[in-house]
Amino acid sequence: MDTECGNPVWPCAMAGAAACLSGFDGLGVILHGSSGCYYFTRSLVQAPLYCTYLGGEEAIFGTEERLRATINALKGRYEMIAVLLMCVPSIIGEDCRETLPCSDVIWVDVPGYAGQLEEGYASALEALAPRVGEGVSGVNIDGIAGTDRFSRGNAREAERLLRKAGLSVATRFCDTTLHAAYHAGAVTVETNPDIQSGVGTSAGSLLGLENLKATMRHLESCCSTADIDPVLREIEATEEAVVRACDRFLQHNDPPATAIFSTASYAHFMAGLLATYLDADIVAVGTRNEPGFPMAFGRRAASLDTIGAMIEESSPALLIGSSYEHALAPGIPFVGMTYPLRGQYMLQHRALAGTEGVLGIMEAVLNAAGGRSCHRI
Amino acid sequence: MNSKISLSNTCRYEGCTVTGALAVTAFVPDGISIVHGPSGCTQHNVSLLHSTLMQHEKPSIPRIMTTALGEREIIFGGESALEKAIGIALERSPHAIFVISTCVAGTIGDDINAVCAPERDVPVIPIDCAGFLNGGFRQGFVSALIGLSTLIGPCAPGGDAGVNIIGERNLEVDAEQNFAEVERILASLDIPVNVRYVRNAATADMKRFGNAGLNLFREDPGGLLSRFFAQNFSLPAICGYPTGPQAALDLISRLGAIYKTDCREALREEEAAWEALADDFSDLRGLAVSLAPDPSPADGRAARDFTEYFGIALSRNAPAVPWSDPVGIGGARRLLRQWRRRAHGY
Repeated sequence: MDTECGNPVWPCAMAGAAACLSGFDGLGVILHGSSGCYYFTRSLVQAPLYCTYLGGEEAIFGTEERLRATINALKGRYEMIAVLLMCVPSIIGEDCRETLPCSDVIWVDVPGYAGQLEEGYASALEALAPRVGEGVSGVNIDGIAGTDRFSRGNAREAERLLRKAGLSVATRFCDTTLHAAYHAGAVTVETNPDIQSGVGTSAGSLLGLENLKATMRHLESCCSTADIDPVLREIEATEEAVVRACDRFLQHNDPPATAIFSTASYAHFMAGLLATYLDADIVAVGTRNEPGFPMAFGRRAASLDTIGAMIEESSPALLIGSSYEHALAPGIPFVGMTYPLRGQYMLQHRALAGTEGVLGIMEAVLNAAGGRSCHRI
Repeated sequence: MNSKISLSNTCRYEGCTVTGALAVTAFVPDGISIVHGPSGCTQHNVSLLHSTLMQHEKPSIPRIMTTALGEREIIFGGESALEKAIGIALERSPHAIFVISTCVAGTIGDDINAVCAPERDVPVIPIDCAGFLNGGFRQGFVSALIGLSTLIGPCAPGGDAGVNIIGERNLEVDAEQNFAEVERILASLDIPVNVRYVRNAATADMKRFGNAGLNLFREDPGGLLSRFFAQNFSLPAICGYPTGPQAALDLISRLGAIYKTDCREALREEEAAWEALADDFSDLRGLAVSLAPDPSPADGRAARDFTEYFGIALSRNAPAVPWSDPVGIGGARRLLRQWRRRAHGY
């Protein structure tokens, strides 16, 4: 049994796979399992998904008939169908791949007990097997998932910056067509390195100004049409604006002791930003997922028990995370950055990536830490 | 997708049994719920409850633990993980522990009753849901209400400590407003609420259950709950919150008869309040609407009475307006506001 057993807060592998595959137009996604898991995932992902609605009878006598009926009902409506095998079909060990051979069906073994969101996202991409297309120009954008309220804003910001650098966009993983998935560009930029497609050569991350600069330089070296000077000038102007605002803030306030709870990449980005520009003391970093890279500080925190204990131990003056963290410590100035963000409206497609991402999140931090609004994202 | 809807198995399309059970157990503030399954099952219910409680502007999150079954437990069994979770829960000094099984635990054949059976410092109550293997949301909800009845103390014959409210829909957005409507009607007859079974009722509160003079069920479509409580606790019962003016007046009359109290003044006040509401929405007279979703056969009569009272015609081809069995005057007012917005094209 996992030691983090009190109020787990991060979705399972199946939800991650659904979030990934629902981003491909032309791909019908069937959750082969029960209604309860389906309804939750549907609300999480907010994209069309289908379900075989298994009941107790199928768990005993087999699920093949319902799966066949569901696949048949979707045929003709999609170029390809993805079947996500959930907990019970996986446990009963029924292998429908043998009995339902279809060339246009991909199978993803993602029972909820097999891991968390990021593992499911990766398994889904492995099953889909997207690839670089021959002679395809443009740069891929990685890290888009329906579960991340910032991913649409990230994608738009990445697209804007690439265009500003004279580059076109090839494929957006995962918010694209099936055709584009199999005709991706040879170079990729990351908007959320926790969920990478692995397609093409990574030019780096767009999270944070230093990473953005390095990524642009990498793009310049591998894309002959790139003209990154306009973006570098924008980065410089952004940095000046952030430094000026932080100087003003620090004339009246102490650097905030900050606790950050998010996915590993976002948490790492945020910690770097606050330490660099606001001289903030990062008193706690809790990551929802296992970081895929070495982190100087921080530890896994995917349950409310762990998160609550970390907040209590670190006594932060500023809390960055989800509405769970806000609910645990409603008196601490709060900036929302992590799923879920309940109890507030968020209509605008805000970004964390790129220059706009830095400006947006720093604006929210300064307003919250300066006591101007503890609810602003 | 609903490619094979079978009317004999509508629970297939309901929410999860586990969610139904947690819609009861998570509302015992001094209890801990343990969901015996993968952590994802608990996470999605924690997320749902968090979201619902934020809508109720109650940011606190109930204590829900998971046994976090992984591949190892799937192969070798999860009973020791459950034992361990119960041990961790006991360290947190709850007054009761509720163990809810999932479809994964059901499929691998874990015997949660056996694990919960040994005597411990506090009651450890198994609620056998087995996720979708054992019905849907409603089944989990009913199983939990029945399971938690072991916390109820003995009945005092002829009790008159008020009315027990049973089976409130804790996840509905207007649960508190609906309760307030019923409480208002009871107050008009000077009848207090005894125990809200189970909404924010501590385990000690449940011991007072038997002091009541009446059980009022939020709803009981299959009669399962009222039969169980009739067999085990000899209290008169009324099923269903009131929808529309006639149901509200009927409730007052029945309460008057059970509590042997003069209800004429309360009836007059209630009638006057409904007439005032009808005046407020007189602009809707003559409107033709269809209801979405279609009311169930049991609700059909209430829906017809409701629309008729406000001079609104029901017609299959008319624009659809939402229908959600509004409770009392407050519920009616909120629903009619939505209908007015639709009538104005929003």
